[in-house]
Amino acid sequence: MLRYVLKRILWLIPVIICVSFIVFALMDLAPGTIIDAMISEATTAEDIAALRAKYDLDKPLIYRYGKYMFRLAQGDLGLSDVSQTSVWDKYITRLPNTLLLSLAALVIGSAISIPMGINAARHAGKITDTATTTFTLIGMSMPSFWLALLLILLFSYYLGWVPAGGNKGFSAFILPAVCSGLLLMANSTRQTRSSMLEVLNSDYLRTARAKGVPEKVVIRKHALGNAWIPILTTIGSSLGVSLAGSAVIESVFAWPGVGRATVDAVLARDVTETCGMIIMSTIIYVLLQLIVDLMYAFVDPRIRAQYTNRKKKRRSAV
Amino acid sequence: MKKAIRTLCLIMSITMLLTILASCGQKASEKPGTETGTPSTSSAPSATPTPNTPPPPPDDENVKYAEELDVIIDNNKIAVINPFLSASNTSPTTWVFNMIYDKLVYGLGEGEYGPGLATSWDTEDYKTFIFKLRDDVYFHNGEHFTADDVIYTIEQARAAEGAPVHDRWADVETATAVDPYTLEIVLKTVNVDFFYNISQPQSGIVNEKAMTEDPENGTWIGTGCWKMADFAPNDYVKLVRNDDYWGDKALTQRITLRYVPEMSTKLMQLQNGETDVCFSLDPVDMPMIEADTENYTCYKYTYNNIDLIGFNMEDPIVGDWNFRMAVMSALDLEEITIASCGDYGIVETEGTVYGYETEFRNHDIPKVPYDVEKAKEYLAASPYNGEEIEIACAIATYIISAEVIQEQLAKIGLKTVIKQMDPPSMGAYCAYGDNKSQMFVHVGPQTLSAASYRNLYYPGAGYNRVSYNNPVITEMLDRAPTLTDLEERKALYMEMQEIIAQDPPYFSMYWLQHMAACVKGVGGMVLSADSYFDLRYIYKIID
Amino acid sequence: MSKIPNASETVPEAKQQKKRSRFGEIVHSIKRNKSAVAGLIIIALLLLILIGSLFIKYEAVTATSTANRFRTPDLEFPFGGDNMGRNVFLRTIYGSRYSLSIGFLAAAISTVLGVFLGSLAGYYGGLVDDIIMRASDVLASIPGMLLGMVIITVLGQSLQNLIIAVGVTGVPIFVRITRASVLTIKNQEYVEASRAIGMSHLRVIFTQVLPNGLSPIIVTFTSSLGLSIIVAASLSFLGFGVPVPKPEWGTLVSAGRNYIRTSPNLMSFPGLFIMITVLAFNLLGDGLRDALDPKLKK
Repeated sequence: MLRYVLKRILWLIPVIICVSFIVFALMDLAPGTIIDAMISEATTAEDIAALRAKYDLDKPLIYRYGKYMFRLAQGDLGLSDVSQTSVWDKYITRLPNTLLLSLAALVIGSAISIPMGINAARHAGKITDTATTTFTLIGMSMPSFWLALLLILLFSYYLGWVPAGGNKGFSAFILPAVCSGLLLMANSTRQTRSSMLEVLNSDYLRTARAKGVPEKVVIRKHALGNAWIPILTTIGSSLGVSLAGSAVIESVFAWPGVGRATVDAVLARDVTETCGMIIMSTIIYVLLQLIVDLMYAFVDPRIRAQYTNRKKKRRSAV
Repeated sequence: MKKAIRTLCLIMSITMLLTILASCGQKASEKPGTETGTPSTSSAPSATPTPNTPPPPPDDENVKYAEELDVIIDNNKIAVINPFLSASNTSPTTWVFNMIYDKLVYGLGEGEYGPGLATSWDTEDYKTFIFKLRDDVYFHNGEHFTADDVIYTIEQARAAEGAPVHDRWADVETATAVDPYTLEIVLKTVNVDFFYNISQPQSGIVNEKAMTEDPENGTWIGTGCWKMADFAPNDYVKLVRNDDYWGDKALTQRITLRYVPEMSTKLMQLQNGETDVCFSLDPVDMPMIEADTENYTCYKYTYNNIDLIGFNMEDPIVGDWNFRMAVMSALDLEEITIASCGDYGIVETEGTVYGYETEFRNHDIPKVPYDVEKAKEYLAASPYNGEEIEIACAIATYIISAEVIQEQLAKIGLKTVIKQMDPPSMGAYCAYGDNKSQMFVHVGPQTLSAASYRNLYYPGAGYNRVSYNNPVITEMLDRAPTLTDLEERKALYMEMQEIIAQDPPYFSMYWLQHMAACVKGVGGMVLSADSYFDLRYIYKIID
Repeated sequence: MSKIPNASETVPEAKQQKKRSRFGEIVHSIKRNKSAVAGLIIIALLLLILIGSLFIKYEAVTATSTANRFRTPDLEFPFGGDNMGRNVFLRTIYGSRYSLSIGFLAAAISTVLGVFLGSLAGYYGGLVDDIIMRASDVLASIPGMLLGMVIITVLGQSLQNLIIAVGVTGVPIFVRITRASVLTIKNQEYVEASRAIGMSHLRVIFTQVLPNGLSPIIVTFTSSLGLSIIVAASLSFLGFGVPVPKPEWGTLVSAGRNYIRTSPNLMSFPGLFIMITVLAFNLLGDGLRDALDPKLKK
């Protein structure tokens, strides 16, 4: 078990190297440099030349990349090109905001989706089921930015219940959380419903019922217990998706999270900051997947056995 | 009562100093070597805004001010509080600089300068200045302000290449402390823009000890009437009143400046009472707030920067005079202005491409008239032959302008394609030495000082994105700062505008009007056209 | 002198038989599945709209008019007029070509690249598998929206570059799905048989293995269609999409978002179209999944 975890973590290193190189190269290829983002009305040709020297822009990409990786190897994400402040500080200050949003989405989403999915599965084919399926399909088909705008229109403008953005207080937090949550909810309701369906028709459930086990226990203990894995999969991947797509929601709601900060860094051509933020996002994403995989083992004794036996196995489709 | 007396004394001392300055100014305006000639008006450029929001009411025991104010800033972010970094060149950052720093001199308008950290200054040749400094000023960290801090600031500025502050002090050859409160500055050459430069918000004086102790946030320490309390880059700045300030204390005790990227959110927060002042609302929402005089007072100001079309002079088609005339004649600026600015745009009516309130604007140059038939004639006379001309744009308002321009040019048979990019890409695309663009819609930044005219026309200047290179104009631009006589300088700038208008690389379209939407009772702000606002004495009267 | 049957002659025949009957089954299942039918109907309607849009002149879509600024919806302007007085209804209809083409082409790019790489990984295994899977992981780890943004910043804003960017971000999932599928199939007997007759590896992959592992790929393709449209719209919304004045739906929502208080119609209708399109593809995808899933066969 420990070896598996270690192996996964060690894989992070080549992944980080590749990611950093890709981002660095792409940002370098992008037209315009940080100087173009910083130009003011009084910038003269001499100023521009001085800035180019300061940021090593006259040196080849490899030189700058080498300098960056050298620092990175020592665990230093470097200073932002624009503000000369620590990239790590900025990320760590903003990460809780994004995580808060994702976790809230997770909680809201799961709290509603799991019971809804179970309910739909139990009444498969009837009106409840169709209604649930329709709802989830519509939820999955909505672009997040559009949903965000609609929520703002309804709850902020027409009803005036909550502010349209910022992060002052709990009320500002509701709309973005609900928005992220709705999409996750749609996905995991579907997944819960279909895995419950599979399980509900299985033999061992029929046996349990035949034995006279009360229905509630059947559902809770036997059905749900076996249906966990795909649900966990969906939640895990949805969390990853919401972390990745947070840029859009954070932009619309003016939520001071990591996604928006990265977009700003790209727009300012701040290579150090963009690289640093994307690397951190990658690490978080990979660690999250690892945690989800480990939870599989916790939930399903068969998988736990696989890990401890150290057999070469397929990576589960996350 | 004490406050009134203090204010009265301040006004009297300023008046006295002004008279002294006027006499100094007379001496300085002479050419070296001549006897005292006829007195002339001050030779420094007029560069300061006149207050345009209600000043605080006369001192009255019954007036209660709100202790805490919340301000939503304009559409630019505050990335760093550090005048030595290029990233600090956004407008709201200068508001913070105005609040936490003092300058050596303060601009009073019409070319007059009043004392700041310097109580008086002496010069005979406009090259060497003796500044007498205040001895009762303390930095926010308790350090006593001395001439050494000014020298340190100048050194830092000189090392900060690329930052706006670099050019502010770039004229200084040497700066020496005669004694802790007397500073001698020698300029490299005679430069009449020096006073304007050192009165700018970026020229605030920083503390040597603070900077050396804390390289990252040492620039937060100034002598100003506000102190930094908290800062989240690109998000908000919190300031508290400096109760030990050497001058008039601020009327508010705590203030937060916040950046909100989404327009609808801004409006929402203003209407919910979550903020006291909101800058840069969406033009669509502005009429509604303006009309609601019961709840809001709105202060409008016209932005000094030029919203223009640029033509790459090196492009064979676009650089042709007939082509440019064709474009200028074909554009219905009313339609473009309404689409881009709603009701908050002023259509350009004059022919010079110059800052709205910048000194020495030549009002006698006629605009190219809107005449579609004439436009077609010009186009026929140009090398244009059905090609698709590119219009580059990067900012939302200008993208809208570009779309309308595209439609209007199609009517004279000029086919265009819009190339949308982000601001850094555009900077690289329209770089002076390697200009790949043809036409572009962008801003032409101009300060209130005529010296900023350089930025658009000097070869290699950061905002010369049209690759304009006219040796006659270049020579005139080099000559301008050396002319100490006001009339002479004015005539030079007027002539420059005439020459440029004969072969214009830019076309000015409209002026953006901005509005500060305030809840009732807010005043005390100085909203200047160059957007370097002075919010030091902002207040909100509550009852 | 009996002719030894050429492998390529006999096996495809048998495969064709299998395919035909399976295809018939699929059609039959789809016809029974109500949501899939609904999805197909909506897609048909969208195609009709697309064809109809071909008759709209580009000039009508971009013609600005001060008089029609923020015109409220009426007969001539069913969705109202935007901030430049353009007819939002015409722009939305015209914009269907961008969203639909981006959806298809981007999904196609993801599929072709992903399937190719995934089948190589699954079939050859070993080092090839490791390299491809790790590369796919790297691509998947970078947040999709950011990767798309950076790609477009590098390549420049245009329709083609948007398709490329969205297509690239969609590759990893196809690699994974195809690899999983190939892994199950490659040990089947008919595959062994093909190898025994001497078929080359590549031929085996593309004629034997893949065709039988198509179901998950098809299902993923339909959901990828919807996802590509959403990602493209999101990129346009952030300002990285199709350059103006082309009326891609995401661009329309973005243009309308500043006016949601005064003219909510500007952003709601284009967004509605995005939703309906993606919904149609998801419905179809669901139906296909049900139809192709052997476990649900009664």
